[in-house]
Parts: sequence; C-alpha cells; structure tokens
Amino acid sequence: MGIIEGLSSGFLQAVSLDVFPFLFAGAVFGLLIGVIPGLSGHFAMAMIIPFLYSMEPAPGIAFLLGAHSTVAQGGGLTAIFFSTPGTGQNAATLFDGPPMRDKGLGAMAAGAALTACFLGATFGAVALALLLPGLQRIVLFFGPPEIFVLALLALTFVAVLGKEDIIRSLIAALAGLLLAMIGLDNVTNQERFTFGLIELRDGLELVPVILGLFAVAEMFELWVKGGSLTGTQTKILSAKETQKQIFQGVAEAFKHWWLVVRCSSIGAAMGLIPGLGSAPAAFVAYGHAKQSSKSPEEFGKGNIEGVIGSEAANDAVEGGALASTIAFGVPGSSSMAILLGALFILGQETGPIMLTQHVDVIFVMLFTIIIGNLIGMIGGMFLVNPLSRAVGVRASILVPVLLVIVFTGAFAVQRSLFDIGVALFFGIVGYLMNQLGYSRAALLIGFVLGFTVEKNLYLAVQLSGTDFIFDPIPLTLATITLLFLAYNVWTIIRDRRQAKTTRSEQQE
Amino acid sequence: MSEEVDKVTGNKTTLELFFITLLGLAFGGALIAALTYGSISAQAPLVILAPLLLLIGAQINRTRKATDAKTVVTDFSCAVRGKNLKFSKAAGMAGWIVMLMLLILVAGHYIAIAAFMYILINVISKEGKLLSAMVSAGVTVVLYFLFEHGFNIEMYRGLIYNLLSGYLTT
Repeated sequence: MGIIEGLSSGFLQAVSLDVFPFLFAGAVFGLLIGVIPGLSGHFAMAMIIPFLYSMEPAPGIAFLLGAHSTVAQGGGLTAIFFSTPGTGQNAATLFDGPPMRDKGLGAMAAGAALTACFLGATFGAVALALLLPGLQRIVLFFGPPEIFVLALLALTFVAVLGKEDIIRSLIAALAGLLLAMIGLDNVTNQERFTFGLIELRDGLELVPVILGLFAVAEMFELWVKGGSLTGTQTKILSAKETQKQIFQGVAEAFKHWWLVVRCSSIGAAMGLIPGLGSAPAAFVAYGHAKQSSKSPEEFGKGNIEGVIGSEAANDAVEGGALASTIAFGVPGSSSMAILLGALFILGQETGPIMLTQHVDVIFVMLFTIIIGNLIGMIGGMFLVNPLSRAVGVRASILVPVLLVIVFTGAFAVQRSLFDIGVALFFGIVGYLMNQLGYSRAALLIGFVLGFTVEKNLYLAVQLSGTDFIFDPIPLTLATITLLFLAYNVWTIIRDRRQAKTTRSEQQE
Repeated sequence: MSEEVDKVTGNKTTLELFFITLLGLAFGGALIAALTYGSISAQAPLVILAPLLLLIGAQINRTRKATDAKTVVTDFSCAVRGKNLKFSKAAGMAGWIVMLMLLILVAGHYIAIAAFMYILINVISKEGKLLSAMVSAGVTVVLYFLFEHGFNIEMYRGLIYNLLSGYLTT
C-alpha cells in the first residue's frame, strides 16, 4: 500500500462512524484521567486494553490512542490551576502556568497550553509521516553512546534553569541523579541505598516523587499562607471573561508559531530516542524557550512562552515515540509498550510489514493523535471555567481536598501505602527547597535522567570503551553540550559584571 | 513575643543551615554506604557524591557566614517552642499527613480520607460543621465511585477490615 493511498484510507477510517465514536470516547476519557493527579497516559491505556479483545483494529487503535493523546492536555490544566501536574510530563508547565494564574491569567495560560498541545501533537504526527520512508536508517544510528551524550545535553539545561544560584541548582541536580540510583543496580543486581526496604528495590516511582515535590509542597505553602490559590487576586473572572482569556491564549499559541515549531521539533526528536520519555523533552523545550526568549528574566514569573514551549514539546513526543515503536517495535516509553501489546491483541504486526502493507493503520494512528488532541483542546476549554473558579476556594477547604486526591492518586499507581509516604517526604523536601531557593526542576531532571545516564554510560563503555565519545554523533552532541555550557557560564559572568557595574554606578 | 515571631519568620538562613546540614549528613551516609558496594555498582554514586558533598560543604560555609551562632540558637529555640507560626503550621500539616497514613493503615483509605478532611476543615480551620461534613462525604463518595467502579482500583481496606474478613495483611 502506498503512502497516498494509506493516508486517504487512514483519514476516512478515522472519521468514519465505526471509528470516530471510539476516538471521541477515548479522548474524553483521557482528558478526565489527565486531570486526576497521579493517573497518567499509560494508566488510561491499560484501562482500555480489556475492551480491545472484541474490537476491530481501527476502532481499537482510535480508542486507545485517543485516550493517550489527551492525557497531557488534562494534566496541563491542573498544573496551571492547582500547581499539581496531572502527569509527569506536565511538570515543566509548573514554572510559568501557576504564576500566570496568580496574575489572573490562568484561563489564558490554559488556552495557550491546550492549543500548544494540539499544535505540538499535530507537528509530531506530521513529522512521523514525513519520516516514515527514512526512519529505519535514522534511529539505528542511536545506540547507548549517543543516548548517553543526549541525556547529558538534557542535564546541562539545569544550568539554564538554575542561573539564579548555580550552587543550589547543582546540589539539587546531583541529588536528583543520586536518587535515581536507589534500588537494584541494573548491571550487578546489587541493592543500593534501599535501607533493606523491599519497596525501594525497584527504585523510587516517578509519580509520587513529582506529586510530592510539586503538588504536596504547594499545598504546604498554601496551608501556611492561607487565603486561596489565586493569592492576592481575589476577583473571580466571569464566564465571559474566562472565555475571552481562553481565546487570547489560543491566539498567543498561534502567534508564537515559530516557538511551537522549534519546541515540537525538540519533542519529536527526543521522542524518537527510546527511554528518554516526554518529561525531559518538556524541560529541554522549556530551557530552549527561555534561552531564545527576548525576555528570559520573566520566565518562572508567568511568561506564556514557557507554557507554550513545554506543552508543545510534551505532545510532540508522541509522534516520535510512535515512530520507533512502529518501525522497529522498540517502545520508547511505557505507554508505547502498552500500544505494542495492544497492536498484538488487535492482530497487527509492527516493523517492515506495517510500514509496507498496513500504511493505513499508521495513518489511523496519526489522525487519531491529531483529531484526539483537537477534541481534547475543545473539551479542555469547557473545563477551564469550573477549574478557574475552584482556585478561588479557601485554602482551609481546598488543601485537604486536593491532598486527599493527590494521595489517592499516589496510592493508585502501584497500590502501595509506601508511595503516600514518598509523596509526603518529597512534599516536605519540595516545600523546603521552594522556601530556600533550591531548584525543584533541577532535582527532577536529575532524577528522570539518572537511570538513562548510568545505564547507557555503562553500555557505551562496554561496547566501545571510553573512546565512544570520539564517534561522530556523540562528538557532535558533546560539542553542542560544551558550547551550551560555556555560553551559559559566560552569560552568568556577564550578568554579574553588569549587576556590579549598575550597583557601583548607583552608589556614585 | 510578636517581635520574636516576626524576626524568626523573616529569617531563613537558620532553616537553610539545618536543611543543608541534614542533606550533608544524609549524603555523607550515602558515601559510606557506596564505599561498601562492588566497584561497578559504586562507580556512578561515587562520581555523583564527590562533587555533591563538596558543593554542600561550600553551601554550609556560605550559609554559616551569613548568620551567627546566637541567631541560630534563638531561631531554633523559637521553632521548637512553637513561636515560629509558619514553621508550626507546616510541621502541623506534616503531622496530620502522617496521621492520615496511620489511619489508612488501620481503618482503610475511605474512612481515613473522610476523617482527615473533616478534621482539617472543621477542627483545625474552624469551618462550619455542615460544610465540613458535606465536603468530606462528597469528595469521599466521588473518589470511591471513580476509583472502585470507574477505574476498578481497589483502595486499601485497612487492618480492621482485613482482620474481620478473616486474614491479616497490609
């Protein structure tokens, strides 16, 4: 089957009455799952798997991927309104989403986030379609050495995020890396830093750590401060004003189309690499947005570019992740591993057979991602008004309710009481870090990438010795990393000198 | 007294000194633990711990220079005596969450979260009884139907329930 034939067949199947209702139901389901902290895309997919046994391939795929594609949109909304990322991939949205909410621009941030998600997902899907012919050759170039250096590049973004106090940021990033070492060593099977606890043998779960660092810490903050999440901004916007802000947010996302394209490219490219996941992609895109912005000093204080960049990247990841799953049967994430299993249940085989004989199935997936995100964007807009009103509720009511939802979500991931304890521990740590100016994002980036860095460094050294760094791709990536670091150190020195000069001028 | 409280809440250097020292102790312990691992398993943790401990040392030094021993003692004694309102509120909330975990263990998830919400809303925050009861019951019921029936996730039932069901397990 040719590309054009597959494209038209895929589109007609996706919008047909046999498939579209499942796509719609999946998209709405995914959006609601995304709003609940702790429940992520792979949870939504796992819930749908039992239904697939009695379904045809196209409706089954539409149901499954429809749910997966909108989870990040729901998660972005709660990140903005409650400082509680619905999923790990929305963690980068926390930098500028909640500050925008505090300025009374929460609905605008939500509109921009929903649209950026849709545009990012569309970009990722189109990129996948364009990459299909040459895909096999590109991805096979990326082995452990390349992934190791790429993960290092992502880690250097800590330098961008923690420019305000590099020592505190480095402490946080290194602590994050060390936290990723907890559990059984992947190579030797030796227990590390587990204190004899069985629950720690598989390492710390990402979801309770994120919920603790950001959501529980934020609840501590609000409880201590009192008032409401909107802080000093007591006026609750009317439905009409909220609607106006949403459309302003949508317009802002389109206005920053070049940023969307750049951040989506980062997301799609990082999605191609198995094991990196969407959270690092969102952080890297955020770092890039800050780096390339005309007003980087406003990042972290409610800059809409920060929301657009990270949300565009975390949805564009799916196109890239889908590419490596379809082409080689190498799932880039746990969600893609579930998709692989689902395709097997639906009688589909990935690899050359799908790329040559079932191109229409690939396009059903692509159109599902695009249409699913469109449904999520429109559906999400209806959620903005009630969510923006909920943030005006007094802390004395909101904090206990949100804490209960967060802890229920933390428990539900592995059905483990231990995870509630992990969320509490990281809640206290996150609260203290926030109070004392330590970058929680740096800790999270270190934690997310720690496992990838260690595993791939070990494999790279085993495969090619320490000379792997001189291979063409690792050398190029390492050079970019060093240049990036050097540029950041230079800007820190420059900013300090400028500040010193300004101070001495003022004294004179 | 109020002057003492204001002085303490406005100063975070003591808090940072304690935080960073605790981190130093924890990671120092991690270093000792890492030295007992085999060479391959210890490699990565040691590579991370060496600069981390150096940075923590530098930060302790930096923080120590920004304050004096007398201030640290005053701040610490205020926090311990409950005169630092911010610290007391945050520590109180952490204590309530620990209570929630214990209650989940004994009475089960739904009873525990309902009680937790009611206590925080009514007893601690002094909101009305009816409002507290309605919010606690409403949220618990929604979560019950969402997780038990919607997502088919059985939340932990608690030791008492397990005991009455004829077996004891956590």
